Amino acid sequence: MLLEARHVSKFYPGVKALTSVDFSIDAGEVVAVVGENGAGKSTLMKILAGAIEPNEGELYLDGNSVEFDGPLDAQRRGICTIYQELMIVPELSVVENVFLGHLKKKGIFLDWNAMRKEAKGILSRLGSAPSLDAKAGELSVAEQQLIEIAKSMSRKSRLLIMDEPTASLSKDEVANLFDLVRSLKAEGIAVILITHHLHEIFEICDRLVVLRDGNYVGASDIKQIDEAGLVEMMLGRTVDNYVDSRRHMVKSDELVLKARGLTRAPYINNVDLTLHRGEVLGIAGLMGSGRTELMRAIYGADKLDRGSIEINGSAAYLSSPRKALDQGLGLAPEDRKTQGLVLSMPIAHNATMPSLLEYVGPFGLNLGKETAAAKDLCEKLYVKYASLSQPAGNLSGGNQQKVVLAKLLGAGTDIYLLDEPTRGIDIGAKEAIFDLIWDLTAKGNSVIIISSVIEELIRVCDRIVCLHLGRVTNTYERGNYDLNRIMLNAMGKSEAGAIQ
Amino acid sequence: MKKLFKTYPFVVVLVLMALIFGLLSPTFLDPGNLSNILKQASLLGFVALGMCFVLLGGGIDLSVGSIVALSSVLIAGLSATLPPIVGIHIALLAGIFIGIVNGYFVTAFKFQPIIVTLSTMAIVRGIAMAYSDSRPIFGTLPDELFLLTDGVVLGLPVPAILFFLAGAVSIFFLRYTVLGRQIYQVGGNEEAARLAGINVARVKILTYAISGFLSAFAGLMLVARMQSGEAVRTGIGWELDAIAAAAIGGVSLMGGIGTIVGTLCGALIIGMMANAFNLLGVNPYWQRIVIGLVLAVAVASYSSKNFRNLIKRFLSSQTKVN
Repeated sequence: MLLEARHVSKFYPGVKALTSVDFSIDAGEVVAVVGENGAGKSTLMKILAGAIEPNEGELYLDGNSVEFDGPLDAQRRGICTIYQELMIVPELSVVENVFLGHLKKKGIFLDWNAMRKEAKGILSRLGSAPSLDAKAGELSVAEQQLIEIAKSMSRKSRLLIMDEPTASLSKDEVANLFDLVRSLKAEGIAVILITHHLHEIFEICDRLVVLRDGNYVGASDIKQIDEAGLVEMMLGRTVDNYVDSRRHMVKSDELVLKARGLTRAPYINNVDLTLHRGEVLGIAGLMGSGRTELMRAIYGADKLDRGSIEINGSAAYLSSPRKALDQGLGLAPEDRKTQGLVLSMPIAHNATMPSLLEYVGPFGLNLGKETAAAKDLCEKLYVKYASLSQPAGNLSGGNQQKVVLAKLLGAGTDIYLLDEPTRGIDIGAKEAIFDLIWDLTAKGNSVIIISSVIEELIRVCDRIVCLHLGRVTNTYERGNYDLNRIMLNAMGKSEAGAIQ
Repeated sequence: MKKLFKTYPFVVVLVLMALIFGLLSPTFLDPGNLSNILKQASLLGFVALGMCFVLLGGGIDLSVGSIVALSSVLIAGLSATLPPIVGIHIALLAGIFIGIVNGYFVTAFKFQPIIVTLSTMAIVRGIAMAYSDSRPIFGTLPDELFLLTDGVVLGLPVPAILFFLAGAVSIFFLRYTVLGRQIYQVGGNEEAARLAGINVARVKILTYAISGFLSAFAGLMLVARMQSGEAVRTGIGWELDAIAAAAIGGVSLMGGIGTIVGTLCGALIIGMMANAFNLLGVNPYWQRIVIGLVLAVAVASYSSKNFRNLIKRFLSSQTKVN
């Protein structure tokens, strides 16, 4: 065994991120680590890369017990990680990036000749030759990734951990990357892939390890498992397609939103979408599926390359969020801290942000009326606060999310785009948000909701659209929900059964 | 007292400083001297108010000193051929126009505000010098203009009244208008503001226009005091003093946090120190050093919890000794 982890656990205050997980990888092996969001994949990878220390359990390198003294120590011992956010210094040249952090020296001088020679050797071995003097920032993402791999090769890596490496690559680039992984494998280098794309798992991996809720579920040889078996391991429950009995269908035949051919390269590709009055539409997509970009494009926050949007039967040109709001669209963005709230500003002022014009009186803003309205909105959503004048940044995550929704309610829109409204919040807050969604649709509003947790969508949605790499892979009507099949579609299996 | 210190620390600092200077110099607290301080501080005060708007909106404006200079030579120069009131309007409009240009380049091309306004700082200074041929201009200024400096209403000097009036209007604007609120929103989180349907570019351009207007107004006050306009030395370094005044008053250079009251106090603190050091015969070099130290201490205590605790410990150990 090249590297082995036995019974490793990681606890954070109040959270068990990882509980007694086993993992092993041999030289020349490619292992996929699979699991839903929050399954503990990243935590395990960080432990293997020396970035965090496990609370329990041991690591063995070449059969000997080992404790990494930080990520640099792990790198020195041959374990390199390539994160999704590439660690490239855009202003430096290719050579400088390859030898970043371990420049070669001759005496007190830098040995550029040796570095160039070695970088050239590594890059041609990897089957590509961007100019050594090109600025890294001017290269494509795929080429930057190549530099990262070259960087780890220059450190004589024996194990490469790649965190969702294909997230922003085109199809051809993915194929090149796979070729590269195969040639690394042939050289005896081990590769761990964190991924949720079926094609990656079944095309280049030898083995897969499944985690769920921080627990080790099992491992399997790729040849001995099929897609259905994999999803069953990931989800791990016999699914009763639980539908909330309180939910009454209030969907009407009237179309409020009709989008055709929405395209924004490379994130979303020719997406058609319809939404009826009173309907709750779910988007089942994993990270990198283009779900957030789709919402933002509909809302006018990002420019579309192509596509048309009709609202209430007439063409709408939503070139800015303001125009979308005026047409009755409201967005609760994915990241409440950076996009949803002004953290330094009082809760009340956040809650009234899009609706401020309503509180203008003859002598300027009527602060009494505004505060009363903010209080009303926050109470509707059960926001727990000490004072409306405290900065929104002081609230807990769940309460911040509720303020984001309060903001939307105040704007008086009738089409709600909710991007991961339940992420990172407690059960009570989740229930409050579901109640709100039902309440809204009962009053004739319509909702599009994104969630990584497909059970949540099954529970609240009238219809679920599956999105993978910017394309719709399947659509389900209430009554035909099948958790496992929806998960497979979100991971790239198309309606016809082919893997995208 | 504790609550007052928590919400308005700069007010407490201002009063404490006045008392200390009063103890050190017998003439410092004379009404005549106090009104003198207000007169002097009001000039920088106008510029600092404008700077406060720009900082709140998440920008910075280095061109203010040059706008003061341009405004002063325009008012003096145009008075030779046009009625003074027309020249004054042209100068104020020029200030607003330069502000709009600053805001336009910052928002339309996403240039960094510090670079944009550094450019206009040089360009506007150059225009002012070309217009005045780098010589003081006396023009034919009417005597009424000098009332702007020397006039006294209800026992207060006119510049001080205008200064507080500008402050009051600014407070009202930020607190009771939609645009004022939007300045905080844009400065606090531009993306969240945009997604909430706010026209970010309009708000930002507005802050630069306000800054340009108030700087041009400071130029008018300067002409009233000096009875002439001058382009080479006028307003040199004011951008930094204005930023210092705002920062001492608790305005965050990251945007979205700060108050007008704080900025007014910051301007008064700087003006008071200059005046007191003159009275006490302290070397002017020391003035700069002390202003620098006050700024460092102020900013450190606003932004660093550790530093605040350090001061708290120091103060409590002092009271124990006494």
